[in-house]
Amino acid sequence: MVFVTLQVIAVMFAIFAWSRVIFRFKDHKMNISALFLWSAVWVGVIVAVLMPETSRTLSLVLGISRPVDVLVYGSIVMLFYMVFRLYILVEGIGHDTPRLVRAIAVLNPRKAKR
Amino acid sequence: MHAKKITVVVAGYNEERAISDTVKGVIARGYHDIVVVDDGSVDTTGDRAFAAGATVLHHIINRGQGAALKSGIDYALREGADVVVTFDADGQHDPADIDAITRPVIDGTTEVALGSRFLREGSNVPPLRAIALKGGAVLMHVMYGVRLTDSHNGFRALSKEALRKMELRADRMEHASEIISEIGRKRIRYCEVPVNIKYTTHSIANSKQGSLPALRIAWKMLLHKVIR
Repeated sequence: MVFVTLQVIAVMFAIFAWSRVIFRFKDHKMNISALFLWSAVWVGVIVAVLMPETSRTLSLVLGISRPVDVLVYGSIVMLFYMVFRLYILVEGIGHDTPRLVRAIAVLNPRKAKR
Repeated sequence: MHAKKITVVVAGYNEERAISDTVKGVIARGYHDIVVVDDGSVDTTGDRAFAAGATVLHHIINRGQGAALKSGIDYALREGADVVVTFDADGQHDPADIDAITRPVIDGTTEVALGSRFLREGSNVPPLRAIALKGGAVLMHVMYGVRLTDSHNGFRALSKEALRKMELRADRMEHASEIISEIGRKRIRYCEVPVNIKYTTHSIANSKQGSLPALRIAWKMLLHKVIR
């Protein structure tokens, strides 16, 4: 089996990214569901790069004419999902920050001298 | 001496030029419970307010006038206030009007008294400002069923009972319309009281009188109306 340079680079990048996922999980900076999600993403990338025929099979199953379109559509869905997750996260921070700021203010008054 | 505890809450952001006179003016009228919320100012607003005799709460970052007033109101209620007066930091409001605006709340004829600059004879409201405020008043009536002559006046007196009924969430300038919305939604008794607004160079510069902020507030009012 002969690999082209692009495949080697893509696999190396995916392995690097996957290792970052595992390190973040080991440092307790990522929960188990995020570990599974991101592991599935990067393992999927490695499989798709090393065995392009899998995306062909997938394209036939999904009724998409070109295998490369499966990857493009999958990436777009993934990106939308990530944007949604980020939106939820930012909304949560936006909601919690003023509550925290106000609680700190109310609990630490500089009382007027009488 | 007032039988009920009245606390004046002032939200201040970079108001070092005016805050000292504002606090001293309120205290000079006999209102010693004054809480200034320094909303993440980068100047000496908090220190000057404290030196002038106010209790100061400090927001570590700027969160907007609505959030600052909420902090001040929460603190005032914790400290046992019966009536909370919201008052601008920039010197636009006249401390001499506090007696009149708190009177109907103290005697129980109303739960919220809202200041109106149009009820006093010879008011000096700039014409464009007057048009925007009157337009806002029409919008408030249509959307919330609250009939007002002045749609955006930060001078108010609110009973603790009214404050406990209200769910205030808006952090920025739209908090003013949110208070009106809550009056309508919760059927809180209200009245308007004539107040004097002093248009100084400083206050005019501070009040963002362009049409864009007004449109933004109107847009957020519509959004809140749809979401709620």
